[in-house]
Amino acid sequence: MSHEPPSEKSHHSLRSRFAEEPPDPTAKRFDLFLIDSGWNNDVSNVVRARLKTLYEHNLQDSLYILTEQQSIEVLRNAPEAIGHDPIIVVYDLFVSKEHQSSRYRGFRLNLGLIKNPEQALSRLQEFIRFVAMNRRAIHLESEIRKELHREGMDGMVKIFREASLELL
Amino acid sequence: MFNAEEIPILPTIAGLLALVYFGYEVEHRRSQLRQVFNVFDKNDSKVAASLEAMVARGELKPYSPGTVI
Repeated sequence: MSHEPPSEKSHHSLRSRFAEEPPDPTAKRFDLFLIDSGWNNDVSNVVRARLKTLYEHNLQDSLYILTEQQSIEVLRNAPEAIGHDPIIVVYDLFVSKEHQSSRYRGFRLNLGLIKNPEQALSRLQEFIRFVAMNRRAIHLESEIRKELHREGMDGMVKIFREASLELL
Repeated sequence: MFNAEEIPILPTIAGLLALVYFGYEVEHRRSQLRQVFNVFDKNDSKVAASLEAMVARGELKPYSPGTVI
């Protein structure tokens, strides 16, 4: 049974599709979109300077870069995300047989919420690493929850360390 | 009965305040992290529909190096 994505000219679906197992690491699994209406110039510049890197780390996937006008059009339909951009949205096109619904699956990185460009770059690097390392994950959403928990634990250690340094 | 001299009140209060602050700070940072990076919620389907439409209309093409944005 083939699960090839439909032709982009007819209809491009971002919904996940059932497959027996995750795609081969060299095959397409994700559609990535950069939404950026230009609020946060410093962070925008950091992201746009790394587009080629982002592309090269995800050669098997499709990366779409929206213009400012297109970004505004998208955010008009999702006003709660205004000011969160640059946003990288990743649609996972794979769903295992245990979750046979064809809803939208994936995750997003709201880089516009980070004011410091260096922190945004660091978060972007972690994001690219996460996508690369979880390309074969069966339950990507649970991997994301694990990552959030792990980072929460790291955060606690960091707070302890900062607090102890302040006390010294 | 407790003897007031046996309970160091100020260090105890300071310790409790430090614990409360620590708990607040951890929760605050976790919440910030979830805002920056998370799985989709119900609002994301509105974004998806717009993006699908743009690709279907041919307004949005996959990026390749050299693409003028």
